[in-house]
Amino acid sequence: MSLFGRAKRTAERPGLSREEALAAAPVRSLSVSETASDEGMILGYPATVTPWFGALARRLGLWDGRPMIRRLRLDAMGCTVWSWIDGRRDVRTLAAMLAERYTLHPREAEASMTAFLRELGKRGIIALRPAADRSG
Amino acid sequence: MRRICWNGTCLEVPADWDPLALGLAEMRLGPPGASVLSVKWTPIRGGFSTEKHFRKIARAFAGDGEAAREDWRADAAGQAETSGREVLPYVWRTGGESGLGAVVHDTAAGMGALLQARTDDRAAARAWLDSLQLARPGFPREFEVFDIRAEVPAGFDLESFFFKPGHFGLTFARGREQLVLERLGPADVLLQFSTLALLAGARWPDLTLSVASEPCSLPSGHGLEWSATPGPAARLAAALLRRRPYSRLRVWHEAEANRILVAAARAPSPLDAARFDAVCRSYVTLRTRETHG
Repeated sequence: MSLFGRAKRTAERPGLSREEALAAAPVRSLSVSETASDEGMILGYPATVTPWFGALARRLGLWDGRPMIRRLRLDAMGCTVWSWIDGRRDVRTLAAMLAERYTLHPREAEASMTAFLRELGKRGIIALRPAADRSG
Repeated sequence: MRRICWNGTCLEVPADWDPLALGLAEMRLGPPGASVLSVKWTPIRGGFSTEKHFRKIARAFAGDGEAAREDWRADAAGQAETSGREVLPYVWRTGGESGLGAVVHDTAAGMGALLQARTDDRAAARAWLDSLQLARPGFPREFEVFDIRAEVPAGFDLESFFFKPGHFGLTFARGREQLVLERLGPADVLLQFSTLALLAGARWPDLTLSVASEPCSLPSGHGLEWSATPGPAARLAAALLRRRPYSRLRVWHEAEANRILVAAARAPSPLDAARFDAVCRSYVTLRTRETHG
């Protein structure tokens, strides 16, 4: 690190800005199933199969074309957050609720919430509805 | 206002500010999502010229901006210089941004620092500069970031750190001696189906395996401690294999803050129990510190 080196300017990122992402509301996918478990909950969600993998699996007789269900185990904290996702509360509100419920530092709660929602989003378990869509 | 300390460097900033980026000798601070203040520092061995370092800064800005000497500290008139600190203030602009900066040489601490702010608010920048304290050799290093506070004995250098949601960690070293501070949370979730003993056994097996735990009590909470003192054979093996056979682990629950704090030490020679205890006593969450003073 250069002691007196000038700070690098951060590159602009495409997509939602921080404010837009925090104002968006997570919405549950209708195709997700919930099963209670000893230490929390298991979410079942249809796995996305890439066309080339699907074609290969069919040729090899490994897949009959029906949707494959994958499972995601949520711990107690994950269950609590999952129960708060109602399609109306935005990410900022959910992070504030998390900070309040578990006495977390606001930035830590925000980071936890965004990481959790990102994981759910990658699996297609939730989608983010921008604030503009809700108000309109 | 709140105080932020990182690796011995402290300053007073607005209450809603937090570290946005941290390095071993660097921090960037600001409200969420907006880096306003950058501070870098380094120990100075030998001579140091603030003027020479300002010329480096001016050269770095020369591409698409400029940095110019200007004393933006109204009525500062050599106040800082007389307190063993030489300050060279400047203003900078680049692209669409502008701000204030200062090269600092603290002769008492033997440190050089660069403070650079993305603001034209001279009074605010002056307050940040005036509150800047640099680590002094031979004094404990202060840490006060996010929701934790600790004092680490002089001589221990910060080697690595991480701040993940739910898990913070700082690792220090002095020679072959290692000191680790961790913070886990939320405690009620971690302890819902576990205990401190089970948690420690799973996370730090090398420090708890075949070592009996003893209850310990701190002003901030109650917990358990594991202290390993090897026998002659284990000492010989450790010397041959360059291991650290002496270890101490303390895990305690700050119920009020809903956190679990952890201090661990490993060394090739017997550990200083009083020093380890002092580190543990200084290590608290800010919530508990505010409650208990």
